Amino acid sequence: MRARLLAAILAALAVILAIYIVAGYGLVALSGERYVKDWISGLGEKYVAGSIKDVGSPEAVTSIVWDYRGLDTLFETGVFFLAVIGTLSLFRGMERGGERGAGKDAGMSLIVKTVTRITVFLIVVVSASIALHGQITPGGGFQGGAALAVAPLLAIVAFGRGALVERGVRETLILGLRSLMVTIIALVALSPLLIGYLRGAEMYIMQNQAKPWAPISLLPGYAADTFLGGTLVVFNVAEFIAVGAAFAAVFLVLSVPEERAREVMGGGGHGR
Amino acid sequence: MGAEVLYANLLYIASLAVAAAIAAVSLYGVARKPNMVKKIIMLSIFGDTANMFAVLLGYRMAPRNAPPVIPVKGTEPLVNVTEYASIAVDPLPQALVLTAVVINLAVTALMVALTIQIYRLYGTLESTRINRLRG
Repeated sequence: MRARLLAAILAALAVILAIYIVAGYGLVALSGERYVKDWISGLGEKYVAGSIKDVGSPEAVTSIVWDYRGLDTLFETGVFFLAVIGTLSLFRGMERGGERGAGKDAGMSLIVKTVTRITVFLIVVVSASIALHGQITPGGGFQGGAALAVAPLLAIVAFGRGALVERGVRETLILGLRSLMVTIIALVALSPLLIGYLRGAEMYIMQNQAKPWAPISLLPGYAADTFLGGTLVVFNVAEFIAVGAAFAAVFLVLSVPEERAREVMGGGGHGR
Repeated sequence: MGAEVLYANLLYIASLAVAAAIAAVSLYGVARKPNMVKKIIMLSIFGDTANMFAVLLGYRMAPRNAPPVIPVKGTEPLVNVTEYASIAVDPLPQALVLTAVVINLAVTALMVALTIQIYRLYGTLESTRINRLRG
């Protein structure tokens, strides 16, 4: 009964929203004299206009992600890694399974394996390119990391989990890499406070380029003939590896064989 | 000019209305479907619809519009930056959406993991039956 009431309320809200949209734009739209959405917020225009001067990057989206709204992204990274840690802790104790059935016969056919080798290589190259050019062209750490996450998924399906674990792709290794990169992000975000204290200048968390009220730049915004975006490059590379590694770990634990999972959950000091 | 503008306006309003409709359907699914996997699918559709809505709100319709990336050669902008900002689409919703997409993926993975564990423990995915189980 309560669920039905909830559904009715939500449907009513959606109808009200639709009426609001049509009423708000409708009259202007039907006159056909001007576009209903020929404006954006003044804040958005300020970000586009100031991106090169304030951040040292012509790419306004990456500038917002890691500079103008850097604190938002810092905490969103926190939410992301909390979700990943939640997933991993649900499967704790199971990561040692899956070595059985490893070897040349494991996984799919030779054709699939060969194609997967080529594809995984291409995915890694393309995602690294997306991440490393984040301050110049559309792209960045999050997009590159999400693209990189496909590579371990493909490898697990084609070669089998055991083959990967045998070659040293272990959860502990991947998690160590991820934790290292998250630590780098946190250190670079907090380092302006220390630098400001040591040099006696005003600086704020996640500062990038010098501002009139905070006169020290953390890293240069330009080098010879390209944009570097100051700390943007560091954040993008660290986030790229961290996101890719986190998803690789999640896919590895999600692919634990069913018998092993039930074995762990059935007793042995783990599970329930 | 007139017909073209009218067509673009109707298309924009229709996109917003479709986003609202998909949101309503997916929330109905989350509330009313008893199967956990269907709930997860509906929730991820709802998240994507919310993202689409945010990007639509940042769109700028104009005879000339541009992405929020300033064209440069080396470190010199090829255009007047202030003028370019007056035709570019809004970068803020795009920035918020790109992090939201990745976080959605991680949260979906968490929900899938929880659902797998529920199935292993109780042997069912019907939320109405899981509610009645004790222990």
